[in-house]
Amino acid sequence: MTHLVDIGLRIELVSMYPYFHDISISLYERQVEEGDFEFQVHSYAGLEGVDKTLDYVISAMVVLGGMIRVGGPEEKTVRFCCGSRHRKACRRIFLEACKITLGTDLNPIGPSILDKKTERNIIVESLGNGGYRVSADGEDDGRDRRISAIAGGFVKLAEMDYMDGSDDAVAFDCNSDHTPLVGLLLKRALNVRAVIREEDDLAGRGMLAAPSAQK
Amino acid sequence: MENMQVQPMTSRERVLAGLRRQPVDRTPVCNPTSVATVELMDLVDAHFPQANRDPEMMARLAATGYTELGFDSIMPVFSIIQESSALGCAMQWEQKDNWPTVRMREPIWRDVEDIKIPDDFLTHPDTACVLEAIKLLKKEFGDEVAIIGKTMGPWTLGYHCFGVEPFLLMSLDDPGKTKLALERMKDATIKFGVAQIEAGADALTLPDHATGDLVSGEYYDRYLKDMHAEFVDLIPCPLILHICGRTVDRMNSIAETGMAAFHFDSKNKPQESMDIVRQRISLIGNINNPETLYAKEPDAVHAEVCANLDAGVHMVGPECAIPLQTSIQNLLAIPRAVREWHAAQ
Repeated sequence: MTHLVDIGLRIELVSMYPYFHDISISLYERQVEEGDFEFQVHSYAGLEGVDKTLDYVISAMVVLGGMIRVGGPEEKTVRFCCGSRHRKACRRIFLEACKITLGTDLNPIGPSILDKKTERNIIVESLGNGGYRVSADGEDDGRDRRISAIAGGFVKLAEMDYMDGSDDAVAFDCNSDHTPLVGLLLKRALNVRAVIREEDDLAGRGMLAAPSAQK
Repeated sequence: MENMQVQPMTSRERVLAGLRRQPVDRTPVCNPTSVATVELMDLVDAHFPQANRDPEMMARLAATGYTELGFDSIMPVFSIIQESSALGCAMQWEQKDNWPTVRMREPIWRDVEDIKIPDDFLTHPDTACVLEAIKLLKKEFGDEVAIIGKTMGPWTLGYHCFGVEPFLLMSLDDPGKTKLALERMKDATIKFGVAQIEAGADALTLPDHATGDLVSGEYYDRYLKDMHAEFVDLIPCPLILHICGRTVDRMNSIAETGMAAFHFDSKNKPQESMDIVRQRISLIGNINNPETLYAKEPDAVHAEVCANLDAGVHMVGPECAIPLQTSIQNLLAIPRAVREWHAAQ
């Protein structure tokens, strides 16, 4: 009898969750009858305590990413309020949720941050209907460039679209607000290259290289 | 060579027939290399690196290829380092989500005179682990499923023990010395291979990493072809040669060695490969790892399986040891695609 689950398409994997016995935790995506998308967190590890661990990850996705829990506690399933896929954003929420020390108090992150690189305060303001504008204080010199880079970060991290020819305003294609998600992503949007580097490094792990190809 | 009149076969019968290019009830799904993943490690509580060093963990993890994924073979030798560890190489054992490697920057041999197969080569923990794992698997599964062992070829051992660059330079500067080195190292290949057969292995994968990026087809003919043919005589079981990368320039030579099968990389198209080998050797492969199995969805896996089946490839499986993060659903897509392809014929 197989012990494998058939709960959707696996869209992300944390190979070694550092806060609970290095278990692997996966994120699955599936489309439900109404056309909406749900995401389920799952682990094949059979240790006592795995269930609570997954519950914590789900809670983090809800609080930090603004997602909504679906079904009972055993479901380990969440969705966006808009029901849309937002696959890349959901993967990012999951990965960020898995970075938080197990058991830490969870609080949403507001859409503003001190950008240490430029010593500016960055604020992301909701424009309604899923649109957000990035602004920054401080000197004029270099400000627009920095704002544009951060807006571009949101485009890359969450597949948001630029709004009407602007380079400081971006929007979710579902036209729904996802302000907690924006707050969560803002820190990463400040340095998307680091995020991509991290993803590339992780992708390289677990690939068996021939001896002549070993680094 | 599917034959509708062939009675339903066990997985073991199917693989052995595939290795002999005899009729089968359906194309075998075969893994001459590892199909271990971090999720399967969690499923059976057998994690890297310990699963490379503990026979019960090794057997338990390897068995999932058959019991969970539906492959027709079980191949417990996940890594390529067991022999090199037993020869005395310094090892980097890594963690659950990464492969153990030989520290080739700390070579143990500098010249041919240094080559020595130690007396405890087969009782070293890392070779003994493999032998014990094979015994456990044979005891559990009997004749139900093909147990495939693995013994590294001398070119790979040369890389591990001399270092890649010194070994390649030797092959350029001193062909005589290189041949002598290969002659001496091949004893390890034969010893370990024979021991695995005695433990119960039905076939052996023989990886020898004379890969196309650094080693030409001419080099293969010069250094390895005759030795690979010799292995066929000296190791009494079907041998599956594995060389990564683009190898069409040497497939004709490989087909002449007498080996049972060649496990080929996705850099070689199934049809072009079949056209070269012309039924002189079975082909096993060649589902792409880093792009398809790792990064794409089951439909893409399905398409590659069908491309192999359409070309008449004898056995289907991943092109090499799969990335440890590969999704289980992509692996399940391989036997599913094979069954669906046959049902549609």
